[in-house]
Amino acid sequence: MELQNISFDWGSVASEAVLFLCAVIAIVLSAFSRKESSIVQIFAMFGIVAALFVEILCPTIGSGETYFGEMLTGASSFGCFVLVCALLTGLMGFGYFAKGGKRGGEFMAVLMICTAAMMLFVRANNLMFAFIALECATVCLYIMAAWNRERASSLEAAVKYLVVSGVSGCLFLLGIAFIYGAGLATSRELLYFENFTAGMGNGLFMTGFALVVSAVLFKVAAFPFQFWSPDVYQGAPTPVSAFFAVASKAAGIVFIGKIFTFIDFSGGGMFDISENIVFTISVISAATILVGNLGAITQINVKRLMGFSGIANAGYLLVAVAALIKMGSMAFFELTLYFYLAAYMFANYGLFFVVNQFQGDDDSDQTFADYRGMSRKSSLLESSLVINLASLAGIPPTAGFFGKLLILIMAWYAQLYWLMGVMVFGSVVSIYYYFGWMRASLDFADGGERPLRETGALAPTLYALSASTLFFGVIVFFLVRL
Amino acid sequence: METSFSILLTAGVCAPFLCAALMALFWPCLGEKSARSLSVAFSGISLASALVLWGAYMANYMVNIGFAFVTSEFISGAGIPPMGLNGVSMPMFAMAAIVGFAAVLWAAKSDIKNPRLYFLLLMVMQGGLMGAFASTNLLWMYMFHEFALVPTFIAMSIWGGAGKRMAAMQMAVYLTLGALVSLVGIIAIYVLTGAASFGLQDIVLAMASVPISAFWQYCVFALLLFGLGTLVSLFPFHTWAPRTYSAAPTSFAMLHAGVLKKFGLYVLIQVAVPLLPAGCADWSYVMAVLALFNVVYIGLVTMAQRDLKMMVSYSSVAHMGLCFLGIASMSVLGVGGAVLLMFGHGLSVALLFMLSNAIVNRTGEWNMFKMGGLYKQTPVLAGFFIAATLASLGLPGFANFWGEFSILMSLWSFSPAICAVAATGIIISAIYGLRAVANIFMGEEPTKELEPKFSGICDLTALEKIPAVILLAALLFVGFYPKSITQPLDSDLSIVPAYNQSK
Repeated sequence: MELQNISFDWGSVASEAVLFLCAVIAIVLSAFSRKESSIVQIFAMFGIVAALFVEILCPTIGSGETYFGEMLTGASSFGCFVLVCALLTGLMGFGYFAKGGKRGGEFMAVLMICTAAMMLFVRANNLMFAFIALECATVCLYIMAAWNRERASSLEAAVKYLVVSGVSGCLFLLGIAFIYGAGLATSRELLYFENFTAGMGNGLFMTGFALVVSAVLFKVAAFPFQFWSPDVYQGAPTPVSAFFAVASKAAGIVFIGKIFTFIDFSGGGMFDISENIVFTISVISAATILVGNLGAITQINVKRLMGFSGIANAGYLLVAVAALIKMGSMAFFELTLYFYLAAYMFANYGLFFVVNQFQGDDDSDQTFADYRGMSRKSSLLESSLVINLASLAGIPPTAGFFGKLLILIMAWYAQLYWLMGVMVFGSVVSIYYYFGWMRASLDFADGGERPLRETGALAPTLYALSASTLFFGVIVFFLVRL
Repeated sequence: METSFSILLTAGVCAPFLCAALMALFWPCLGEKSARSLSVAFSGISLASALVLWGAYMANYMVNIGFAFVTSEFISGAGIPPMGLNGVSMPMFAMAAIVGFAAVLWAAKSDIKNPRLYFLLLMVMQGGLMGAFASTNLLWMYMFHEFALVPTFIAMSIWGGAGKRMAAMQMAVYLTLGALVSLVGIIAIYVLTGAASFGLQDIVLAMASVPISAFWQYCVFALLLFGLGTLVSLFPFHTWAPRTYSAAPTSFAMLHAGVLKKFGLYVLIQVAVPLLPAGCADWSYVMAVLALFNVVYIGLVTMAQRDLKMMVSYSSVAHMGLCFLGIASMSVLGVGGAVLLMFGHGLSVALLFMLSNAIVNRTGEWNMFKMGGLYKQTPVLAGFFIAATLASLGLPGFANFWGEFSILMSLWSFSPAICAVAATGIIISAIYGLRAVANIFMGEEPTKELEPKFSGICDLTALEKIPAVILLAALLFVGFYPKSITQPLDSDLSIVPAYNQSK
């Protein structure tokens, strides 16, 4: 690498820099604070908010420029998205650490590093850089999954994620090696995304490319790399499960969408390859939808159920990716992707906040039975549960419906009719378990012995999430004329 | 004048939602009584606006080509497409308001556990129904229709009758299946025509330049037919309906069986057939045969029912067959008859659900064959029940008669054989309807010693009579003055090319 050509555009990574800086300060602060106080957590929350402001005001959004010697592209909407996720996870952390979790300040530090790493991962313009950012995020996720280390379930989740992520990391690295070995460009430009179009006819390159995509599919929890996610979601502390379900999945999907938009399939000889890739992604997404939805039918453990629901949603998102590759246009895709992810974020955090409100620092064995009589105990939690479950099931007027609608429209444009059929089937199946959960909570009979807690900061957050789920869909009418 | 009518239309749709929003906002300080009175008041606003609009529409139908009372750009600037009414949607809109008001009145006098939530859900559902029939945009029709799903599910899970757990889940799964399949059909129309939006006007405009090919018409109509058919309980997809209606709490059953179920037929008449005439022509015989199964097979199943609520539920499934037959004939007469029957059936089945609930509450008995001789104790209840039964089997003087009559007339030119088979459905419905009346109200008066629970039953109270009178009055009004619906309907349907092809 010709390092002398790299320009250091620190302004372009201001938001990430704020996060890293605050993380370091948070660790130092928590080392000096004697008792388990939440001051460090509050400081960290301010840090995340500051990073969010910097990201919004950051001049690199939408600019086509590259930074650090073409290592990074400009910031995208993903930065804001993942920062909001971090903010919500931090808020949920207050509830979690109030009910018995330990070392809240350090947790926030790790969370911030993870967030920054994910932002860099999605901004990467070079495979090697993407790998380093991804591994940085993954290591943080191991630590966060094992946070409740006195509990076997949390440790089990962390070990499972460690093993699976190790495999995924190896695949990624092997893919990089293959792509490098294909030698399609001069050494400096080998791993840059914009050169990938040239490699589409090369067998070695294609193998490497497939390996990289599979490695990212591991993170997304798409079939056949989905098996880890229900176990990990179940065992990890609830705020971490939420972060896994939303931020980690979103990062993977956005990254996959990004590398495919860099490849220009319109060149004549590559037409067949594009067809094959569309077919492969379609089959993967169909299988993901089926495995996620059919697997969730038998679940009564709510966190496992969210794991399977996450798999199903990864499948729906991959439908959009398949449509994108087929059509080769980006504008509608970006809207669909971020809209769906935002809807998914509101709904998932709305549900995980409810899961987090049960007493005890371990939520891994919560079943439908614990939810009986919830409508009597707390109308706040109940309404949040109903609205957000309806959104995940895709019932109008919630945001989840509009997300599915946009994906279906994209799929029809791309003429992926059979995939639409699978998606409709999956959505109908999903009614059974989402509404099953809802039905359990509507049961007036006694049963849920596990006591609920309502903390002060909870109500505004849940109101905000439910209101977003209900009314966010209206945004679609301002963006597209439907 | 036109502006004030469109404000009235907006008020009619928004009033129930506003009521629901108020109840949700003031949840902690909302008393049970204020929940009831608030719902009655806001539902009354909807009813009043619908009736005024109906009257205005009747008076001026000649000048209204297409949609009338279209709401202004002020609202569409905020991303909400315009609403409006035409000859097809006007009666449906009015029916939704009438049945909704009756359902709220019935709930207001009933003894319900946790009434605040009950009325909140009922208002969301009614608002959705009013909106579904007032929308001129396909996507918004769909969305408003789906507003009913979660409230019905919650209501069935909390206040439902026997077998509520299974019935609620079955309803949710079937309705979502039907809705999503028809959503794919709607998306197909939008993408294939390349219309600027899901608005009906835009789609018609786009179709004028880019017509849909015969193959796609065939495919898309199939999606709409079977998707919407599931919502309307067309023959092989009907199994959810009877269980749902008999397990749902009364007011929800009234709205569901009376109004919500008509939505699928409404979209077929308003959207699917006019936009996809060739597709409908391809499928019309399949539709007619499946509809005959509804009429005859489900009619026979209805005859075999012992449970009063199940009998009413099955009869409502059976009657939907006739509406499908009217659509299959693809003529102004048949489709107009279907709209009339939808109107009449919505009112009469709501009335029947209400009265059977009254009977079951009083006797504590579901089995019709164990009842008998209630006539002397409850003459008013019996009178209403007999009137409702006669209305639903199509006696002249009620709205249903005109519907069934014109459907059968139009069927003759479609296919005499199908017409003949369909006519047997009327006989079947007479058998089960009159037998129910005979079993419940006629015969020996039960003796106090043998049947203690059938003695000392009180008649309908004054508060219970009001909703029954409202429903019956609407049935009789249209029965004696069918022009109130048919004249605007005729002028709107006769300009649709799909309904004017000679066969």
